[in-house]
Amino acid sequence: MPEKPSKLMPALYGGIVMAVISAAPVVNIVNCFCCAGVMLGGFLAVFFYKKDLTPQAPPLTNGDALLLGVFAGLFGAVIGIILHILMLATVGNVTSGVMMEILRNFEDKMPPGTLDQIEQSMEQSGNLGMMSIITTFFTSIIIDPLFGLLGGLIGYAVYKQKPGTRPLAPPPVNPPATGI
Amino acid sequence: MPPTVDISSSPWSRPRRVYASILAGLTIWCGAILLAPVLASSGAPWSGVAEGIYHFFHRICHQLEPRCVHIAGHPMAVCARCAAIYGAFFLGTLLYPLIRSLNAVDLPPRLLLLAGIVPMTVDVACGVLGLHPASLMSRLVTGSLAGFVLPWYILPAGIGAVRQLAGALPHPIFLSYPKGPSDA
Repeated sequence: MPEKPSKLMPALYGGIVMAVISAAPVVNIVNCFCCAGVMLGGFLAVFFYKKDLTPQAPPLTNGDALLLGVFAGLFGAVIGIILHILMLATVGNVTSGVMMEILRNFEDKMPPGTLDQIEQSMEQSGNLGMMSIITTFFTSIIIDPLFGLLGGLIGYAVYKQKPGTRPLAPPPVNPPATGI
Repeated sequence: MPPTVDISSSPWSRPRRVYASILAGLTIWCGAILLAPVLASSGAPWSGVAEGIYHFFHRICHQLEPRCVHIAGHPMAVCARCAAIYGAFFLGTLLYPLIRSLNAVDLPPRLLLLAGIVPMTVDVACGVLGLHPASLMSRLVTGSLAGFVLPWYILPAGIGAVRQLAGALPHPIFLSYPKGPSDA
């Protein structure tokens, strides 16, 4: 039986998608919805792996999906922190600016001083200091594989092969009868 | 012939251990979300712990105060929608072994997954596009729906995945099951 394809490249592709979504200004707001961008990376890792599977290869299993999601999360965390540093160093903390503009619409509904506190917190998140980067990295290395795993399992639920849909093995070829 | 042990019926069979681990992790996760505002209102040094919890969850949630449920005058560690998702996920996980066997590996129809996720996606999209502002109730309801549906897919897939991966590894000696009386 043919062996399963390598999980490395699909997980890397999923991790790159995860990292780009997490680091891109404004786009990374999608991660505010329960790490939807991170889960998408895990989901896509399963999608890319499924594309590499041939009809003769063993089908996608839940173990494959779990590993793909975790590896995509690990790749995403490492690549994401590199992109995060590059983005902050080049374009600055664009996302915080957009979020503050949104929040100013709700200023009259907040207790006094709250908006200043939130602005201060967002400025800290855009800090390029070593402690901030280390904290962000360790938070990502825990959360990204976890949510990548969830995305991978959701991908398995979507791409799981339905029972009875595998291609049937060809019928055995009978050797020609040798007449005596 | 060596005696065999029915692992699936053992009180600490692998599916039950995986389930217990997931439930413990969820309890800590949801507990931290609820504990953060209580600690924040307690003053030093607990407010420092609360700050750490808020910082951790900042990675996965916008934590916009107008969209958070408040406890003891402080917002929860995540917004109302996220809190509804995690709370419903916890509830679904609690109910799961009462309704399905932990050994079950088949997944519910995909339509159910769509039915759980689509309302929340529509609610978010309408709010972002300005078509219909999402209210606290819509966030709680759609978030709860999505959160409740997910365990029915993630638990059987996750338990099956751990069984498959663990079965491919040699058992460490400390994970061996205790011998029965017939093994003496």
